[in-house]
Amino acid sequence: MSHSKSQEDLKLAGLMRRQAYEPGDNPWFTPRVMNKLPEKKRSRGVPAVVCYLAALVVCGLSWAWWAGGTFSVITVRDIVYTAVLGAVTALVCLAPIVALLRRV
Amino acid sequence: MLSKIEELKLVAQCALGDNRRAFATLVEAYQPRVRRMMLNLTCGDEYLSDDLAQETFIKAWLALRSFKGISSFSTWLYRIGYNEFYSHMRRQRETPLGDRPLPQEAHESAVATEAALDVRAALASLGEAERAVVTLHYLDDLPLKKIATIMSLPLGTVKSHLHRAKGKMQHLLLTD
Repeated sequence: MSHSKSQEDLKLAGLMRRQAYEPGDNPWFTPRVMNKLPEKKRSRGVPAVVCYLAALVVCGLSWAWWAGGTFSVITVRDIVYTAVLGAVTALVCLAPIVALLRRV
Repeated sequence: MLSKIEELKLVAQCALGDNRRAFATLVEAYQPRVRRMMLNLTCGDEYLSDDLAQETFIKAWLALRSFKGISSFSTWLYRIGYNEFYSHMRRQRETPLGDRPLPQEAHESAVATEAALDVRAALASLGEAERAVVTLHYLDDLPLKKIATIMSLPLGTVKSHLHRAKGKMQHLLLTD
């Protein structure tokens, strides 16, 4: 339903425009607002997401390199490498979940 | 008065680059309207209305990144302003009567005409929501749909506030 303006509406609007409160000029208003503006904290969102994606890519490449290797003899180095890579991958995967839980 | 494109450019500069000079231009452009809305909502309390208008702009600065551009910037700003006024009134209601600061006397006795005093008395006789609807609709010429967005109320409620306010104001102003 559209609200069309009646004669009374127009009379009231006219009265209000002529007689309602009208603020005087205040040249200090804008400078005062600008002086009170707080510093905004820079968002860490974008750099954090870029770092996270880079970590995911590095993990993925490392696992691809690991899978491409031949394991005729398993050395201690292979075991350590696999364990470290597994731990780092787990950390990278858990990071967003931990961040989400901390926010909640 | 800023054009739509200028306004969008300034909002983008503030939101993306925290550009204070662009925000100062927005404050300068919108402060007369926001201050007038606050002055009428507070029934002429100049100090309180300027404080509330100032808080409105500070909150707008902090929330600019959340401005999606779905509504116009002025609607968004009015919405922050109305919320600020509403929160102030709620805080005041929760404060015991003795602890409340005395409202500043409006400087109207010397300059206001009898007709102006009548209009101001009629405004003062309205409830807060009714006064807000009347101010936004008659002074700022905003459509009821926008007022509903600003006040976060259903359109029907805004219409009934306006209907009641009109009845009271007509009784006080137009029947003499």
